[in-house]
Amino acid sequence: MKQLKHVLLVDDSDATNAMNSYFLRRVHADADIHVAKNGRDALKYLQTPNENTGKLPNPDLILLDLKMPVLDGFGFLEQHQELFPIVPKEQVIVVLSTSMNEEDKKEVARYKPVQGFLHKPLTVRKVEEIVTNYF
Amino acid sequence: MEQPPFFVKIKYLDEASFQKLLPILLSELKESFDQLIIGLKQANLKQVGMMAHKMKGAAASFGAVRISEGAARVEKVLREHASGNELSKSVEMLQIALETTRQYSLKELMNKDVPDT
Repeated sequence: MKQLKHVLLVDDSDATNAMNSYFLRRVHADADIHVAKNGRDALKYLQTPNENTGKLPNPDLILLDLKMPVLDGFGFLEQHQELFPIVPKEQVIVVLSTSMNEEDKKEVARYKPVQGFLHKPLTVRKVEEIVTNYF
Repeated sequence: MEQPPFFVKIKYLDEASFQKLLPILLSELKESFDQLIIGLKQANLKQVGMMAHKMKGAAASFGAVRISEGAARVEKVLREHASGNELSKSVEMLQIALETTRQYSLKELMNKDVPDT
């Protein structure tokens, strides 16, 4: 199984981010996990070069919530598409939401880097499935 | 009707890690509920909905079933544009779920004295 090196969690809940980080580390112990609390902070992170390398962050996986303040998941995807028209081959976005709405699923599927739509909560099994199915 | 447990067991989450993470959840739920009440008092239903949604997701991540179900009920009442009375009742039920889960967490899981609120 591929080991994830760099993961970006985008969710406004500290508690959810803490639990999701725990599960990710259970399977990908060495992963560098960065947390953004809304779409705007996530985009800002992706556009800020690393201080040491000068390179832009390039997470293998972005786990994206949909309903967030400031800039929600849909807004993030729209702007992400404009900012990064060529998405690195190895970068995958998986939506992690409590939404059961089929329209939401169809809407996010329009965006090329979105490979999956999972329902919260995240579990170790879902982390394994993400890597098996999308990498 | 039988109540669901306060927490359902989460696979691959050991007891020590759960106890370490639990205070983050309890603190966030309290803060979110306080914001929900402010929204309710100001008739800001968007804020009420956002906070209920946040509580539902966070509680679900920890298997805190009573709270996630209570928060989902508040969201459902909002979606169905039910009466103010029904909204107040659903918020009251969420508050009970929150308080009883908090007391259970502190007393049974973290072995701490439960302060009066």
